Amino acid sequence: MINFIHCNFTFEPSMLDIMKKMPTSCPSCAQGLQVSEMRCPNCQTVVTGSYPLPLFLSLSSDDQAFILDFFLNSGSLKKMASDLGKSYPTVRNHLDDIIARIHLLKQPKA
Amino acid sequence: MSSLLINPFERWSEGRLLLVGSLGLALGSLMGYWFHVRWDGVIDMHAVRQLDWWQPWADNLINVSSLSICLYVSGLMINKKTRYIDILAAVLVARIALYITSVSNSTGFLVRFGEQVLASLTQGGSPAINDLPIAGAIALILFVMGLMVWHFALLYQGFRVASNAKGATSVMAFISAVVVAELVAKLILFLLP
Repeated sequence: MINFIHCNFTFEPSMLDIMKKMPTSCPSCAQGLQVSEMRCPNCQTVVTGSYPLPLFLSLSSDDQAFILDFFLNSGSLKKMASDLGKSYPTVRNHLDDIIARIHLLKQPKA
Repeated sequence: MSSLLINPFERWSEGRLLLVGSLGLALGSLMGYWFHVRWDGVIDMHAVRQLDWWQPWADNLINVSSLSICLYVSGLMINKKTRYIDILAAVLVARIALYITSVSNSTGFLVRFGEQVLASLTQGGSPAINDLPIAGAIALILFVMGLMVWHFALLYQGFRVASNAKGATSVMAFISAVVVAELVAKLILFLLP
């Protein structure tokens, strides 16, 4: 006799956060987005307002992952290059490009 | 694999690139001696009837030094963080494509063809086209041209990765450095005994 087991799979909010990429710019006009609502996953309390995104979150997910890697490697680009299987100048160039993007984001908008 | 052939500089460490490039230089110099080819300039390849064993070595060492120093200065103007070791590795690896061009004279064809053209020109004005092995010459020219394109693609990719070069200004800086390196190498090789 064969027993079939049915599983109902539901995504927890934290799992969805991992799978989804948070948009940082408006898909319609490309303007930088702001946070307008935050929700407590425990008691469902909702806070509304208008908060600018922190600089780190305004970067692309690739750039965020790179910065996190850089931090976890104690700022050693050589170790990062070795871990990522890339050359040292390639990793250094990525860091320089992120720094240039951060300088652009920090510039006051006209 | 194809990305490694065009741009190994993004993945390979400078140690591996230097090793491959240095082995290429040594093997290339030996090939130059075996196949009677000289690289008397950073973008030159000439088949010769006679040469000393040390001449291909001197050609390659002078070309690598001249090109790497000129590209390094150019890279520094674009990005102060450019390292000489990355530029040197790029030059050494990119020149492997040039060393393969020496195979085109493996049978002494290029020397004989050059002498035939010269003889035809000196004897009766225009060369007698029908007497020349045109098809073979065209095939060899295409082979050499393809390797030259590969050499420049490798060299530019290496320069771009080493200096984080972007845009038209960087291309101009690269071309200027190659032209200056060619003039410097030619001058040094001319002054050699």
